[in-house]
Amino acid sequence: MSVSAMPHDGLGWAPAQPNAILERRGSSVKILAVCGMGLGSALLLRMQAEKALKQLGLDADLEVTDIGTARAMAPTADLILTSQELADALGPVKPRVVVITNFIDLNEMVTKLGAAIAER
Amino acid sequence: VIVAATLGGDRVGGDLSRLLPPTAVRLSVPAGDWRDAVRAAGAALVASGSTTAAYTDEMIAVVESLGPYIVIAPGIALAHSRPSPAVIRAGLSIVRLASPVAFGHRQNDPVRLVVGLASPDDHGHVAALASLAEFLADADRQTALLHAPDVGAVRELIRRYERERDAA
Repeated sequence: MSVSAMPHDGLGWAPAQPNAILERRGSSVKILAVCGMGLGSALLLRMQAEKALKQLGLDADLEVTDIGTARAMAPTADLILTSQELADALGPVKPRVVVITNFIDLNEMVTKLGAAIAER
Repeated sequence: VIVAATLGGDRVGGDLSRLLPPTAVRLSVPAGDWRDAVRAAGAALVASGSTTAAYTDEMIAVVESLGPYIVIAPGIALAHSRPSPAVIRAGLSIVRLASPVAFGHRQNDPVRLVVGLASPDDHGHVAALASLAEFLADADRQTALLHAPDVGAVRELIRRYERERDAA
């Protein structure tokens, strides 16, 4: 008859949960969606980013702002989502700027946002 | 200014149909340049009772100061301005141009569809905007919209989309 330190009750035991740490890291990604007034195309960007993050299985803080406020808010963000026009107007900022060409194409958002978050 | 703190949970069935009455849809509209195109979207918002004529000028001023970033997808411009006294109530308009017009956008020109958007506040239009984006993102629906013979056909396309979406 063998003796084991492990209980053979068929339930096993739960390993430590590294997911908790990963999830925390994921939720710390702060994304700023920027448009001219913060309520047209930036809302579209935010909606698309929400869908894309869901598809990618990632979590992030998403905020919407207008171009006037974006420069002041930029240092607090990890990523900026905007159009080429407004990226040019924004000029050099600390966070990586992800330029979206087609605001209603979810594939473009998933590809670009996924790559930007992976490279962080 | 941060707008729209929350976006979830405000989708309402029929939102697009409600904000896009027949008077707000115009097909085969002639436009010589982007100003004409935006003006047509503004005129449709005025006709549906969503805005006063001043809002049209505000939409044009946005492009004059910030450039053609409102061309949000190939062939599609989203004309809008801020909530202002010129907005009577939330509304959308769709203008299909008789011939494509250049807005000066490097990738998404020329524009064939101009969507007008007016909202009295920062969030009342969010659900409708989400629906419209979803509606236009589908290539088949966009093709159908570009070839719809009349306003009734456009309205039916939108109603069909809403039925399918609400059933999902």
